[in-house]
Amino acid sequence: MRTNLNVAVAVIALCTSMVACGSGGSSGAVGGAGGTSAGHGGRGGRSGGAEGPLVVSAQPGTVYGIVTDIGTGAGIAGAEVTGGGQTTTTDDRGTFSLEGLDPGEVTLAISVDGYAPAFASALVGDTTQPLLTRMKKQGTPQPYAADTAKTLSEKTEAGPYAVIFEPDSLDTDDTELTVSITPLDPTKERDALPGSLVAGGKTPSLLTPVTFAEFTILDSNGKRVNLKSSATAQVELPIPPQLRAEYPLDSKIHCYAYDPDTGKWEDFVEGTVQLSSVDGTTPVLAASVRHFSWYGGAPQGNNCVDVYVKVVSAFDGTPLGNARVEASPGTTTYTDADGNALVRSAVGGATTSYTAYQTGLDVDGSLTGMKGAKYIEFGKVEEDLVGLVQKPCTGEPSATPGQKNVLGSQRSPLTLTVGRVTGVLYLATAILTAGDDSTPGQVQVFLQEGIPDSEGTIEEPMPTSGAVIRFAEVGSSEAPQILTELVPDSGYYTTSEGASITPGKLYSVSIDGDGNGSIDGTGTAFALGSVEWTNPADGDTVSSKNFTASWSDSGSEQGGDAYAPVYEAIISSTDGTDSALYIGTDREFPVKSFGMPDAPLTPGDYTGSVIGFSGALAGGTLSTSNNITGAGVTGLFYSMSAQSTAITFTVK
Amino acid sequence: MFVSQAGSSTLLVVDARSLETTARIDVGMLPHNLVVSPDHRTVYAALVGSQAIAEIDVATLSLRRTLLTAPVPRLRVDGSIIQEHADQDAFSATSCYACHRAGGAEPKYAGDRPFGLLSSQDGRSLYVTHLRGSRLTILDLDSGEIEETVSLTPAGTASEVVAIDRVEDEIWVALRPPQPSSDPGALRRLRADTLEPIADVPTGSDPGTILALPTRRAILVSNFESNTVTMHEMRGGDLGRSIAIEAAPGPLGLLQLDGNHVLALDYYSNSVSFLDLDDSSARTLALEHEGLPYANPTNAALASDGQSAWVVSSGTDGHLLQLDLPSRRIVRDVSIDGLSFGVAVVPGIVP
Repeated sequence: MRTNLNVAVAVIALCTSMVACGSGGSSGAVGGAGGTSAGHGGRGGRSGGAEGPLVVSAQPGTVYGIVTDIGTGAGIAGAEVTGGGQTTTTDDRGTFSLEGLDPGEVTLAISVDGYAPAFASALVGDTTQPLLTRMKKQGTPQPYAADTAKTLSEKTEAGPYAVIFEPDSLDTDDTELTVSITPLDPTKERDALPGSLVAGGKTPSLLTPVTFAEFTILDSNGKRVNLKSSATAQVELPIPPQLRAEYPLDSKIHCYAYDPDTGKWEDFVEGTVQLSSVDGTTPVLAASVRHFSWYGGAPQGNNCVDVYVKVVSAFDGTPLGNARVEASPGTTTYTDADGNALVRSAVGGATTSYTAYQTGLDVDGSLTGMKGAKYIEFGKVEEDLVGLVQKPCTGEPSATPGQKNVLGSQRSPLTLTVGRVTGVLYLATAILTAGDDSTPGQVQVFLQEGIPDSEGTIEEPMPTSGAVIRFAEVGSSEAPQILTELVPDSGYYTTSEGASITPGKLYSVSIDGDGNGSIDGTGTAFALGSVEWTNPADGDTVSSKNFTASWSDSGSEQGGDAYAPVYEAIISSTDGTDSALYIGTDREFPVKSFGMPDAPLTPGDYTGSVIGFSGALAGGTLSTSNNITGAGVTGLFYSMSAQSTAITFTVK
Repeated sequence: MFVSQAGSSTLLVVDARSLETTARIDVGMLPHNLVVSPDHRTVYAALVGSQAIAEIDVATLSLRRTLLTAPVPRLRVDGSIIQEHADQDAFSATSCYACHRAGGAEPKYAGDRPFGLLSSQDGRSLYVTHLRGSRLTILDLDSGEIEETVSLTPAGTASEVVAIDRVEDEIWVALRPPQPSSDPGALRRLRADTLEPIADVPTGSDPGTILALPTRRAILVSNFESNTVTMHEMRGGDLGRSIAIEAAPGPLGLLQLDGNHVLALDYYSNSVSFLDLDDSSARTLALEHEGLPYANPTNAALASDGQSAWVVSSGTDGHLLQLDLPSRRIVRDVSIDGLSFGVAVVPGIVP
């Protein structure tokens, strides 16, 4: 069942020579990269005049791309792009072009200060190949002296990402090193992973991402440092809360490191799920690494669906040939001349997203305002596809006999509409509050907009009026509700009469910032239930020995395994001399004196409070990941429980 | 050539002359180590994820039968009854693959991971190690039944029985701690006739392969985590010298080339090392062909003429590479499935 639609388009203009424009305009050819057919198609038939200005760019041996920030969606200027023996730098809008490349697959390395290194592959062919690369802001640099044993970590809402160094394991004599751990939660930011998570060869098989991070170690000169060839290090990557039921303690998960030389995920070893050595409570994937790079866990998919997609223009519905289509998690391919493609995606875990993008030339300037401008446009949908026949994840995508009239089947392809937006970036904050027997639920969205600067930041965002924001329960057949703006020009949107929001269920918001019919971004979050203490009860007296605090969540019954809010429980002595803190997904914890994992609480009177969060957890000392994503939109979508009734109790 | 394609549950059979695929045999989950029977009529594959061994008929290139390496359990570890096993008469199965597979019953990978294989000298028994369970199983190949199960006491935390081989009247097994770990592993010497333990030999935390060298009266172990291959020499009934040879990072498979030379497959460094056992030296060769790098070699087998070795590159793109031994160059490349593991050459097959 289709649950939400997220279409967003960006047009990034780059003025090119009229020679190039004329060439592209006159041929109108759609290339056959990836085995797709050559010849007319896509937009070649409607170049110029009344049919519109769009023409598929047909420069052979060319990759035209854009580098964006996965967190903000903004283009990244000044990024160095290297591949096929060439190097270039992105312009102010984050776009780049590499020309004269040899046919075949080329792997590009993209680097810029402040971001984890990124890699992307494109299939160079007869036409300009589009490439969209998302980069993740690098984790906090931490000092490290290479002659010491040390555990360094980066804390996120999923738990601590850690690397455990043995003394003298790094290949350097430099004593002033910095280590950056860049966490990546695939349930939120899959698109920033380099390469394709596919075990290939003769019989490709999809890998399903679980948890990832990038590890960068720099010496005092900013040069990258790695492990000695004889050394190993251990890494720990938290299992995302919504995947913890699927990967319990002692599970084995296949781990891979990204190899820039081959452009693939290699060095397959098994890692083990165990408790974090940093906080002792978070389930983490622990594995040995031999080389610091992008690293993570991705078992072979159990069940896959093969999805037919059709890429069309938001301008007039014309099918687009030679558009690059990416399923995530899944395969990458290119549309044929009729805009059709068949991609494979793995079932389970988070929802699957499908992205399409393409390059073109704006011959008469009516699209971009610049004649001969080269552009990339793209669109994205997130779908919870239901009814497709599931099959093993091994082998090439293929037609499924007997599968008809289901969204994503051959007769009813999933439409990826590629439209355009301006350079405006939308910032959204969406809050979901579950209802109960007496009070309806509520969803509130605050939407702002502005033009991002070179850092991707909007200095003075303005409230967005006129947006169309839809709200729906994932998996429900109910039509989405459209939120209304509370006060004109306020940027605040909500349901006019409340909403039926059940604790534990998953909901989505989709945001069409300018109200032009194409949706710019989406996010999902579980509705938090009511959280109440179960031990101790108000007024209880408990023994400090073996004291385990616990609470209930009314959303847990409805939510099932995937419902995994993060709880923060605080226990404080009334005289301020002792306390205990828990942050995690369990609904109980052994209470120990703060900072002293083996010491029980000091006897005395205490108060307790607990609160739950779902979606993007904001604030505190944790790294957060925006979970409203798309092209030109970013933001937080979360739900939190009301603060539980505070309890007072005595520890003896 | 038989290649175990762990990622696709198959054995691939390739004609070494034409490089044509002659068969693709669906065997079970995670086929890994391969062993050829002494009469060259049968290939056995350890099905790590199906608690079984696949027996392949070389003449017909087909799966002759599967052999369970442990009885199908009636109870879970918590003592509860596995009702599905009773309902579906799982106790008559000879592999867990019929039910436990991608898209089938959970867990996808069943059992305690049969891994290392050793054929008895008369070809009538097969010794199987288990990564989990600290034990060695001996299969009677006439009946297909489990002949004997031998529990192995862990050496410290080293409980996973990884590899096995025979040298003279001893059987050696390699034990490692569950990974990741920096705890030491051990090589355990067992009397070949009774499987009584003789002694433990300390080794690194992740021994990969052990290889007997009968003519040298020695046994080699690849230490995956410390990048060495150690040769343990026998002196009468005792252990003699132990000589460590530095290999490139991540030595895994070992292949004897002649009396003095062994090929080490260096998984983590995308290379192979030619080990000279006489002077304890190693020369490393990057796995490249026509400018392309090949990732993660795991195992190799000697071609029938002894002039080349077939190397499995088990990267996410799989390749079977022909390494010409005189020139030490990769000369041919066969595309296979990604995440493949083992290779065996059976001479004289005419499909």
